[in-house]
Amino acid sequence: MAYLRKRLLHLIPVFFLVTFASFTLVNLLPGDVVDAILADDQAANDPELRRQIKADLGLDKPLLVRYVVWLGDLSQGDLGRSYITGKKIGDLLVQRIPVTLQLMVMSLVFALLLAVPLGILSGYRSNRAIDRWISGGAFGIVAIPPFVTAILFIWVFAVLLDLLPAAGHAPMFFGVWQNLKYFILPMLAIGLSEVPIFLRVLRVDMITTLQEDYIALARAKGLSTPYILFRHALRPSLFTLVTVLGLQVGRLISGLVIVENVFALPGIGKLLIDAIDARDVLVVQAIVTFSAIAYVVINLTVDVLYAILDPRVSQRPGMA
Amino acid sequence: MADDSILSVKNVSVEYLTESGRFAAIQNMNFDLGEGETLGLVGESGCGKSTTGRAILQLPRPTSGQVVFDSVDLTRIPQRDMRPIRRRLQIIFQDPVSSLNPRRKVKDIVAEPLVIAGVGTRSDRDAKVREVLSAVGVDPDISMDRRPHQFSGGQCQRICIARALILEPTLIVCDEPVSALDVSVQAQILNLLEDMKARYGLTLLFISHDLAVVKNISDRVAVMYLGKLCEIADSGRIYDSPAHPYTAGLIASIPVFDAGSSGRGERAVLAGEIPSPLSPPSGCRFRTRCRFAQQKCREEEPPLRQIDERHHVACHFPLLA
Amino acid sequence: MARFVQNLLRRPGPSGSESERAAQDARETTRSHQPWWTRVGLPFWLSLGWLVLIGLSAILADILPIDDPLSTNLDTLFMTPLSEGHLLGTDAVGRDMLSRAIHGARISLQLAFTAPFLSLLVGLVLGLSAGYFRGRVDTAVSIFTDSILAFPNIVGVMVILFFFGASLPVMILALAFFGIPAEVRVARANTILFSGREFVMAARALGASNLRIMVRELLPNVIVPMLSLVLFGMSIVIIIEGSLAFLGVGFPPPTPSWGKMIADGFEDISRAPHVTLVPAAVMFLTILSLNMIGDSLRALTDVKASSL
Repeated sequence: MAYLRKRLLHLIPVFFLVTFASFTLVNLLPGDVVDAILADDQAANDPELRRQIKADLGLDKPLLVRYVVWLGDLSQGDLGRSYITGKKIGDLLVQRIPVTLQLMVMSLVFALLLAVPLGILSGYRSNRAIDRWISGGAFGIVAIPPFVTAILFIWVFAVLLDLLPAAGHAPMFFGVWQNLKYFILPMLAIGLSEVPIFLRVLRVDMITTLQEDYIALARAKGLSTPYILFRHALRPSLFTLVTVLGLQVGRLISGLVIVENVFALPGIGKLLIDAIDARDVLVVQAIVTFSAIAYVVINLTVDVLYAILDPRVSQRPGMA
Repeated sequence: MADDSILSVKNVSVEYLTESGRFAAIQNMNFDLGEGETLGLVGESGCGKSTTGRAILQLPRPTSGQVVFDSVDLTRIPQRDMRPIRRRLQIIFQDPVSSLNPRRKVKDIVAEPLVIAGVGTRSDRDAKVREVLSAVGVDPDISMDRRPHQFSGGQCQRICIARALILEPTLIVCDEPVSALDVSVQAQILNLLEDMKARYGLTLLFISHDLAVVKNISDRVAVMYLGKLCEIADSGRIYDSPAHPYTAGLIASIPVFDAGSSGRGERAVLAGEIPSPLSPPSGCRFRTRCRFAQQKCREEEPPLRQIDERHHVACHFPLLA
Repeated sequence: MARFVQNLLRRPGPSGSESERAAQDARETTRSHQPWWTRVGLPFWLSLGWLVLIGLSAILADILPIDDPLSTNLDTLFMTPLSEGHLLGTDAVGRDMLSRAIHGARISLQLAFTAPFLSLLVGLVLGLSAGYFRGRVDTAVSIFTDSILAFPNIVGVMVILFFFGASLPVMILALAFFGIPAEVRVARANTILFSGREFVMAARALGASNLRIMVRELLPNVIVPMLSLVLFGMSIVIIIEGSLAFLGVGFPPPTPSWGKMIADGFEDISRAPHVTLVPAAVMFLTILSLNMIGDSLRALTDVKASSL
């Protein structure tokens, strides 16, 4: 568990640095924060309102004190109120998170369902024709930005074939299929952009694993190839993939933001762009904070998973 | 010990901090090197030979003890005063290919010591580089502008020797300089070292795991086991009448080329595994592999003691000549 | 730049007849004795050709015989590619797509040739220090880079543009900032690898200062793999710029950008898909080329490292 302790000691300062950075964002606004908040507001010159905002933000206290107070509020889920809509930002997030989470989980599952069999095949047949085709395809997909993938899917499946809706969202109470059909294209767009990375990592690990002596032994015992691949070789080849899953969270969130906006899915990503359009400073700050914390928490979870899956990690000193 | 010694290593220990606590790579090493002498330092891999060599150069600085070079204690002086001394104290490593920066030209690599020492102009340095390269048998016209990967291992080692010689040092630590080379090339490099020693009046500390290699080049030989010195004596003496059972075992395991005489008497070939240096045996460290080990060896650590004029051994029951 | 890479990658053919070379020659594969330019293959040259084409067109855009990218012509709406006078067709307001694609390249390339190199510079300093000194420096650097990673790059750039104002310099700095962690990782890993080599110990034995060891001994070895990463950095920069322009947030360029062109075309995708597909294809080919060249360079430098 020395490894976990080390990672934890590492992630704690990361957590504070990350939250401090997102806290400072509002304070780094050029000019007066209050001006920025009231940018398009008729009441910008109302001294009472200005004082009110200043007090709300605690701008009369020193930076560090404000940070601690902000952290305290944050720990209770209090992210303040939007100055544009007056809604509680915490409620806003809670409302939007399920959509983003659903998209994220569906995309990851889809990506893994595609990448794992292809990765195994590619590793098993490394440098053969099938491997070249798979790797080549992955290389091409990497070069397509997620927003272009999204557009192409809309063009093909919604415009040309008219199979699925181009954009929008239906909550669950309209029925499962109603709900799902709005998620399929976004899921494909994000999932596909994750596939090449998973594929490459798994392929390399698979090639390494297949050279181990115990695989040769399993072959000598006459076990069938699929049995060896899935039962003997897959598990030890999954570790890098698990780490990559953690490291890719940032990329995934970027993809979610773009795809949610292309497909008008009301998740966190859509909220972020809407807030930027509306110059809703505190909502932007809250989302940045939220995603940074999510990154830290997810990586910590991955580390724990990793330690549970592979007892050897606690003995590997140089892991960073 | 000798009065004319250029280097004396006194009670030097090097410890590392590992996850499982402190680990002593070498402990209480003691020996002297006379001016112009070649001391062979032998032992199995992991016994601390290289650590000893590097400790002399303060890479890293020993945890305790003194390294007195030309009457200066190197362990006490600040880094900045160490720099002029480094000009007279050089090292040659085991892996010649790894010892040369793959991205630099040979002339820059060999001139580097001069640059660091701030000696001469560019053309002075070029001339000096040519001189030493010729001295070690590498044609400067062909080699100066090339990079290390264009040379064979033996030639790379010659270039390393040129780099070590260019500042005309007093002492060179040769850390297994031929172990990574083909046998045919080994002899060439050993001869070169002998020639250079004569030409530049060098003192050598020659580290090797191979007693056969050390035999011809050394005036005296020191034997190490698990971070400690076992025996130190003149070269002829140690081969003819080793006093430590470990030395005797090492010598017995040198292959000999008289296949007919298999009945040469009992050969004390070493048996057993080397214990982990992380938890060495109590008392005498060699006792777990020693045929003569007794109760005393378990309880008491044998000190290094003199048994003859120039012969020291750390054994409770030294073999008699 | 090409010359620089060429020098770094130079691996001369067989030469010399020294007797000791024979054994070494036998160990080396014949493959590694071919000059590097015969080992990279056709895709590499096609990619380089495409990038040179795009780069030159972008630089010479003002003197090339192409239409004004901003001039609208209501007589020529949605002309398909290969139409007369409009090689790549026209868009919803009759602007020439070829001209717009070429002018759009300017924004992408300006960012691609600045931000990744800034990341490289900062990454080099941090990665070298972390890998060389280890211990506390290493911990501090990794906390810093992990903190950057915690902000998704597109979101990060978007938010920085939002809070600091949208301008080209801010965008370059923001993109460079989020490119730092990848360069640090490569620099650090290679520094650790090469620090273990005996030539570093040899330099230390000569009394070389830490700075000298880092600059003269380690840097030349560490920078090569970092340069191939710069090419991937360029493609990431192009993707981020395109995504932001598509979403219409952040940087509002006066001239067209590929992302903006795709966004504009998207509105009419059912009527005239080429208005979307042309800039998308140009963007795809550019990213593909950068990745292809980066991959080739990485393969070359790997061969080099393993044969040392």
